[in-house]
Amino acid sequence: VNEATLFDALDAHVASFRDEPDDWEDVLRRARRSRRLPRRRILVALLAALAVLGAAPALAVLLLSRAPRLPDGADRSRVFAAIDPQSGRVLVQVAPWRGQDGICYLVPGVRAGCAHRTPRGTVLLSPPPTGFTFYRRIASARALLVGGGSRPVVFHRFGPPLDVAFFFPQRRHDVRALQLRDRQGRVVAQVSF
Amino acid sequence: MPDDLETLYRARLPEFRRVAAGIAGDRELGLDAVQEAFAAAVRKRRSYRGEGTLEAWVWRIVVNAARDARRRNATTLPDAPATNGHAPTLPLDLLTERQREIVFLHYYADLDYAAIAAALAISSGTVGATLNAARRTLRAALQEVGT
Repeated sequence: VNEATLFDALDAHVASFRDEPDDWEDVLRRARRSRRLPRRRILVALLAALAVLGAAPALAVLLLSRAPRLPDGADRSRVFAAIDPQSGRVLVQVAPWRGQDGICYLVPGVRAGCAHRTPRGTVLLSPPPTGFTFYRRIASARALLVGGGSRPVVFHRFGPPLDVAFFFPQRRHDVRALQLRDRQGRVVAQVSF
Repeated sequence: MPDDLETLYRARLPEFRRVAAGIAGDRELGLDAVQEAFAAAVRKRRSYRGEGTLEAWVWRIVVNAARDARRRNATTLPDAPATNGHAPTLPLDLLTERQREIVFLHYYADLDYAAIAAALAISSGTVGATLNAARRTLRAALQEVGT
């Protein structure tokens, strides 16, 4: 494989943008729009400060309720959970999304939300590399470490009606990439951080 | 300065877009990332103090915008890369994020090691070593596909 082959492959990977028009006016519009944001933010902050002064007890409730909760769209009659076999803590709560083809989830301390199902949809939650996948081919996950080497990732597949798998690396700080693998251990996708 | 930015935008737009699309993993995300990056550059133009070239400063903003777009939208596994029917598909998922960025900046924008180093705020030596490692990985993978 020579440099030309490599160049051809890269050339095919992202086609050239040579024939596509530019739009400098759009750049200036976006710049102006973003400039206005701080004023709005200041206004919102002022209103919030006034509300806080006027309703201190409500603030306590507000602060307590900031922790992510299972979204309202979740079908609460069918909530499933995955539990860390070592610590016994709940890793995730998942439920069907009412009226939608998808799921609602709560990863305690990380994030809550709902997601539409797509055949190969994979979602990384912040902070990565926690996440989930609807892709049925994926059967396990492995974390690649900053210093080299790798380690398995807690991988939990929920059957119907959820039909989704969640993955939870046990320590996040030394993970540089996540590999999602099929039943034969072949890498289906790799996401770097 | 906005004039300089506009000149740079018009002169190098296809390269900015191609690199951003590569990093973001999606053509439309790449287009949008470049527009956002230049809007940010217009907004933050006073923070450019003339240390290094204007182009390197803008490249850094574009790379960051594309990186953010990729992370925000990492919701769908990328399909197999599109090919023109002749070239082999490129196993870029074997590379680290930093390797991919350097490969795109080098091949799509034709930046030399010093320019890439300035854009990514790393040393030229790191650029060279990373690019060589990426080439080795890609060649080995392409070789495997070809055999």
